[in-house]
Amino acid sequence: MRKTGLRRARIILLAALILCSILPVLTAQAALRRGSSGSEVTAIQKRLKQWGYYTGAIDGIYGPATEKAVRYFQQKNGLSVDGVVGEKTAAALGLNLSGAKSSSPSTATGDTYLLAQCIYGESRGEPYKGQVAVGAVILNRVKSSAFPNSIAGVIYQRGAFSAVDDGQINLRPNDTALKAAKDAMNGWDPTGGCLFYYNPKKTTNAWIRSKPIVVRIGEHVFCK
Amino acid sequence: MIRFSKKIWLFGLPAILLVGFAVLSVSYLKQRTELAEQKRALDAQTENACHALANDLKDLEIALSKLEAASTPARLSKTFSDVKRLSAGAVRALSLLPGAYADDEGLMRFLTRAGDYADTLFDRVQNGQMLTEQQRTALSDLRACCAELSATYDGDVQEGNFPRADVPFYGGGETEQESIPDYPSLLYDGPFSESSEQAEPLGLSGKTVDEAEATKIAQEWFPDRALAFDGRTEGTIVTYDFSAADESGELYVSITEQGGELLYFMGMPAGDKNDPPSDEESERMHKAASAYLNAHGFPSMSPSYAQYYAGTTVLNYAAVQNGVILYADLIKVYVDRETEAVIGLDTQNYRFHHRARHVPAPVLTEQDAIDRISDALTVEQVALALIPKCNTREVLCYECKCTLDETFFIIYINAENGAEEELFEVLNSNEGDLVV
Repeated sequence: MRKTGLRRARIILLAALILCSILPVLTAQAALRRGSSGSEVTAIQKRLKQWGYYTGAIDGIYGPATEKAVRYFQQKNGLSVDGVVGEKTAAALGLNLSGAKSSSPSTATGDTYLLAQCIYGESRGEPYKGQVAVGAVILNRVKSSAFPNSIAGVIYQRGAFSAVDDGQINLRPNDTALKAAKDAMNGWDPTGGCLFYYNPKKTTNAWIRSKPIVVRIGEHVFCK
Repeated sequence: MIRFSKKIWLFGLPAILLVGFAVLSVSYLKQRTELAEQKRALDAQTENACHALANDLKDLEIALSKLEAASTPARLSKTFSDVKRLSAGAVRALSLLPGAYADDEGLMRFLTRAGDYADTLFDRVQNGQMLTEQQRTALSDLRACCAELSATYDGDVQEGNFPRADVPFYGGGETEQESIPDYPSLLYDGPFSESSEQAEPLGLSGKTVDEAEATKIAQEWFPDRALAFDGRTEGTIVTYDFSAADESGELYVSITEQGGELLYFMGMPAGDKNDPPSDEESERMHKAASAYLNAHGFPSMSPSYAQYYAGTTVLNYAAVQNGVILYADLIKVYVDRETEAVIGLDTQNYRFHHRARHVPAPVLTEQDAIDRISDALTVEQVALALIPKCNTREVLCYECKCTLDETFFIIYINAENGAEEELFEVLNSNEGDLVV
């Protein structure tokens, strides 16, 4: 009896270990929802926390707080609000669920697509004019002697854009950001030639705040 | 049974906890190692960029020094190309350094303008002109400044004094400043020159208008829309900005303070067509755009290229003066593909540049210009045009539209000296005609 008990305990332990090791793989291939757990949930929590949607613990457990944050994120980003991280929500979070299929190709290529990525990463919650304005600032920098002279050079200049620092540049831009990029490329500059912008609610830096303000559009302040 | 479950708790739980602890520890250590590796890779990249910057500055100094000694056009041209290449390389390296974004604006401008200046002088030498005394002095000043910079950065590299800390977003003033030399000022006309960057709008005159007058003007453009005043843009062209968001969609309108002119309005298209239009559709949209321009105070405009995206056709029109196309004075007309109504007008370039020009009589005849084009091309159409070389300079050219087999080219021959100022290939893409 004692031996059988020990054997059973070992079997249960082994089964638990095997389950633990394959759980991340199983959850990775399906959509993540309440009750899910593992490294992908951790990644989702981290991203949501980084972007201010989630305030709970990063514990890899998809509980009610995580679900609430996902719903909030979906609502803010024009996704269907179901609290489940499927392919689309994962893409909007800049995460790849294992087994997710790649999306349909975008209509923009090269520099325009990169510009749209930066616009989307920096200002997707802003009014349309504000999104074009972010694109215009990037293009004004390309034309300025004080910045690198290519779109990629300007966007990836070290420390220049928070979307590059936190990885939001890698999100797939939506149609609005793509149109904003094209309108900016076409010359629409709602900023009157600005080279900088910041969100006064999020920036305390004295240097950027010392610059004379040219225009406010949405949450952003634009300056020369 | 009770004994069995007790044993499970006794042995199983500690074992599971132990395994859990071990897994957590391994994952923590792995993360730490990965982080350390990433930091080393980033540091290596920074060091690499520092070395590249120091080397480029050293080579730039040598190239500028050679320019002082060079006298033949061939040697000057070669060395100007070197200066251009090295300054571009130094700009690239500088943009990879932490702190460069906020702190090294002066150095970035110096490097960009050194390359731009070399490019301008390269063109001059290519056109058979020699350098003036003033230009030689400017090159000598550039070399002296470059020597100072080179010594500073070379010293840093020798001492292993690399910028390590990654400055936070907009981290101006948080890194140690290099001693900044006095950058020489350069007098020239290039896209990055001071005169070009500080150019003022020339197309706006008349008295300034206040908010009430601007509101009235905006409302006259859009009598059916309820426009709200959003504020002013204190940009190169100061404007009063308005917007409307109703069942007709979003609309943004900007009226200039100087002269009370419309700078732009932009609405949203009804559909999202992306495919290229048929010839008939294209013609209808051109007609709609031309009629709109005629009716709104822009009677003499010549259509140039068109683009199609996101439910919109963007048609570019340039002003015409006595048959000469003024390419700087550009207006963009946005036409909705679905309703074929004008939903946007951007007059920024027009407002910036439009004024009566003194157009010199061309020295070359049209035939002289055609003779300068390669025999392999068939010239289809020739027109006189003023083309912008930078914000402050224009050149009178013969615009020659040519074909080579199935490929279209537009070549601009300087009407004064016959130089080939620009050569564009026209690409018919799904999104419209692109010139490259």
